[in-house]
Amino acid sequence: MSIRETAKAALRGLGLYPLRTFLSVLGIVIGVASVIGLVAIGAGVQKSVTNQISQLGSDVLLVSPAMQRGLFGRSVAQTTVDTSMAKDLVEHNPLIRQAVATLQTQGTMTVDNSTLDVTVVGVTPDYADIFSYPVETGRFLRASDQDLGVDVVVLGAEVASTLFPGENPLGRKVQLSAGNYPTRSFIVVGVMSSLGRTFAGNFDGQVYLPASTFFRWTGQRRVSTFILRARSSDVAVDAADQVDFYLTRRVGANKFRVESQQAILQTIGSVVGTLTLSLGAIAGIALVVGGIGVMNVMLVSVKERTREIGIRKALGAKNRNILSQFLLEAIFLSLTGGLLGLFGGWGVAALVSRWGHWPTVLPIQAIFLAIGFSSAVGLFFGIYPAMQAARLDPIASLSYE
Amino acid sequence: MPEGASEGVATPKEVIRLEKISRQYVVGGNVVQALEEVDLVIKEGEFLAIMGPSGSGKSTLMHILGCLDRPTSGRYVLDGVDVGRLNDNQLAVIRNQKVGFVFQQFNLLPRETILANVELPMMYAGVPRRERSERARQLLKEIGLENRLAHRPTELSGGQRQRVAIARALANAPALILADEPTGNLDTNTGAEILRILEDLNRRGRTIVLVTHDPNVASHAGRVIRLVDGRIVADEGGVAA
Repeated sequence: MSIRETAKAALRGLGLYPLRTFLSVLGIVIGVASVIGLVAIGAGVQKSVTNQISQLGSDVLLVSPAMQRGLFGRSVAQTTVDTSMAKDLVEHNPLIRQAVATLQTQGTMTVDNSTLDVTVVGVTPDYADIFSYPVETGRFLRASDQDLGVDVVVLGAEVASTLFPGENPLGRKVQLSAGNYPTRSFIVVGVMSSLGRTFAGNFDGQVYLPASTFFRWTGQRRVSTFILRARSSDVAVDAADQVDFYLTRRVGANKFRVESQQAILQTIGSVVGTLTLSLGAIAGIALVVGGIGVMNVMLVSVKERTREIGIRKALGAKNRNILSQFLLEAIFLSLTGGLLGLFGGWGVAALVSRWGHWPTVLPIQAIFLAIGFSSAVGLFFGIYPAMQAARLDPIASLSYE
Repeated sequence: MPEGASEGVATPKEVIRLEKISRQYVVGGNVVQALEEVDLVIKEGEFLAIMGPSGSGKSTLMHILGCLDRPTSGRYVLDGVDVGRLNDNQLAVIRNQKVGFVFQQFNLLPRETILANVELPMMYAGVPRRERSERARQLLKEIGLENRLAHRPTELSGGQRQRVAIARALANAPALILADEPTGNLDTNTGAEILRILEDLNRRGRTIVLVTHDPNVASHAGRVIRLVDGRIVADEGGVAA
């Protein structure tokens, strides 16, 4: 008897009691679904984080004043430092290659009659360079803009497309107002290309002024964030420690928060690693439970179909024909569970990732793993019932009621 | 015309030769002697009935003849093959190739179509799909069920089911048709119809062994042996061979 015919007979057996079949594989369905779901979610989060980080470069460090809840629930920076510290950070920390200070405030940009809330960032000209943040049209800020403190502005991609839909914003005059500061006019000299969402915020919704202009306009010297670049990605974590140590000595402990992209990557990596390990345990338990379900239903099935086995044997079925029929049935059974679990877990992951705004990633290995493991469970837990079936005595089976 | 007659010298070959066949069971520590030194020769083209009260050993004899069971001692040659010492798988092949069973309970697979039921022995024999299907259709046509190919056994009457079982028994053109109380679950008319089919098969040269306790059924056979306590006590009407 060919595999094809054995498979047909096995499938026929499965269709006999659909509800019982489903219930018996529920353990496998749940096990595979939870593993697939969590793996897919983990992979999606990791991918989204990695994307964000690689946008900026994994050698980038962010240093920002630590915030503490102050009077009336407002967040208050623990210290203030001015932009000149950027130079010191490079000079005193050999692992740091480059440093840029940014000043930040929330504001509103007006062009003709349209307005848009934007994040106004005062930066030095090497800001674009530190992120490899490319210009779309026009130019970025120059040293001369900084030195002269001219009223020019560079727009993030989203700002440009919202305020100047289908128009060329270069050379246009825009009004900026922020807080209590007087509304001021700026000339648009450039538009940045889109960077998307990143760990350091949404660059596309920002507008960039020379730091000197920003200071003259607002009088604000307090640095929002220093952006540092380590000598390489490999030393990024050490560089973060170095900077932390330097800042502690200079301004006191815990006044600044130093974040390294590399450290974030490592944290994510180790979280995902732990997750994978505990998933392995869940999968193991679920598959054993599921396997016992399969074994149970197969033993019942063999018992119920004793007469069928007797008939087949009388007509010339060899022991191995019976063995492979029931073994295939067990494998199909748990494979069905595995596939249901695969699609179930995928669906859950798709829902969760839509809600969490990260891509749904289902690693191909996870699919093979689900299929492979559930077949293996069917094989392992099906062998005993199938052997019971194959060993049945034809005479006793034929007279079984 | 009997098959042997055309060959001039009427010496039909032996389909079955039993020599001193004994079968013992151990039941609850007691040895039960189900068959005791049974000698029996059945020639090709014979229609033989095995009779006996229950417990006489006729079921045991039938199981041994059908290669479902092995004798404790003695020699059994079926269609030229000494089957006494074959292992399980070899016996499965012999059952498949040389024996066609017809059971009292019909023993069709309830979830398969009658076509698939008739194909089953050929499937285990490895007959290619198309050939198998063709032959099964032919066999079902001969018993007048060619319009029911896709029906399940449960949709058929008892007589129809037994006809399907006979078609299935013939699938691999066996040397021996072994019918165990084939009319036991049928009313008189239907039973008579089944017996007519068996008689007809016998006329066309099939060797048939019928196990029954019913003298009316046995009367259709050309030769009747009677078993009591595991021994053959009578052998009547056999062709003088």
